Amino acid sequence: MADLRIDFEWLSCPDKDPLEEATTARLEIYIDDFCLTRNVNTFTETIENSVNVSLYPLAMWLVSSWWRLHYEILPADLRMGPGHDWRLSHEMSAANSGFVWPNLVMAPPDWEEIQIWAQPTQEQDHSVFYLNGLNDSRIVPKKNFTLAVSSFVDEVVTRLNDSGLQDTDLSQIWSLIKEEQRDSTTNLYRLLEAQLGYDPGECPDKLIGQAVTLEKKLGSSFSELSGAYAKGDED
Amino acid sequence: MKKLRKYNRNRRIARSGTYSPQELENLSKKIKYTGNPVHKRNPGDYGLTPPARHRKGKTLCDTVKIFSQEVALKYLRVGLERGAVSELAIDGWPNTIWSVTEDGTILEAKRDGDGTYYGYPLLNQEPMAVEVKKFWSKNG
Repeated sequence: MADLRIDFEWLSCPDKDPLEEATTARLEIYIDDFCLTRNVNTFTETIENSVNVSLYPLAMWLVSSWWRLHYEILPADLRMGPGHDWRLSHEMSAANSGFVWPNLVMAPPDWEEIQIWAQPTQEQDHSVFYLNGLNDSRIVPKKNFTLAVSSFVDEVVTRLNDSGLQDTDLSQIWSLIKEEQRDSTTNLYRLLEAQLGYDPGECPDKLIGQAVTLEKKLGSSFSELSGAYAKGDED
Repeated sequence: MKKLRKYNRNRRIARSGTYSPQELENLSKKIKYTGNPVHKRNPGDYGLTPPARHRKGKTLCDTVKIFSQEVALKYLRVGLERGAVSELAIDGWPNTIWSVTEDGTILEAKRDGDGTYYGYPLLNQEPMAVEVKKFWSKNG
């Protein structure tokens, strides 16, 4: 089992968006000692482990994808590749906001673990491109993954508060997730929704009702089956 | 059950019919491009202060060779008129507008005021870029 580490150091850097400005940082992401953010700075033509990005969009992506990142497995049928909705929730580049993010994909293979894939950036004409990929995916215990991501989001929220930016979309969604996790009924509801390939609050009532009933009858066996019945992309 | 997930609505293209052709045309007449120096090495004719302040970690407008207000505004208008806009809108303005250059690069523009936007290119591998390409070929 591997360990995921998200390190950062705050920077002062003017930006048009106050949320992005307040959370600009030098970011490094590691799987054990392997740096997933190792990049070529195309301005200076140097190789560095850290990249200057705003952590707000990354934290927003992590909280918005929280349930699906933790509970939605890879679709059973990969002949066409995973759909847009799946990719938005599991690929770090979906954090976007005009930044070049490392090409990381994260999804649970089962109840206890998160599987992480990494590939170098193909396009090399922007301000940075990432060099490191993983030949084989790595498995991180889900508990470690949750801890690394939670600590990261907590620090971004604290930074925003310290900068006088309270009650942001990030802090609201993060508080809501914590609230949902504390309530066992809502927690189960969110988890099943994610397993079925839906964002929070978007699974049809009838379907989630059936999933709750099945989960009660089958227990963890339901989790193993749910991926096969998950929602595909709608064209 | 509370529903509070604005973020994902910003990453989804609004369903066809969300805006009427007349509404899109009206928005297209009023829209303005502001620009953001952090996405630029070449200052172009945008009149920004500072003119360019390219930043490590950002995507660059220079890669798609867009250096003028006129061209940037043209892409914004084309995106609007095709309905390549986010589900999320504020005060009648979509939060995000997407467009595609002649060479197939996907551009994304973020609202930074009432009817004003700044933009940047997306990397081809990004999920949103793939989705916009699909939308563009269907709604060409």
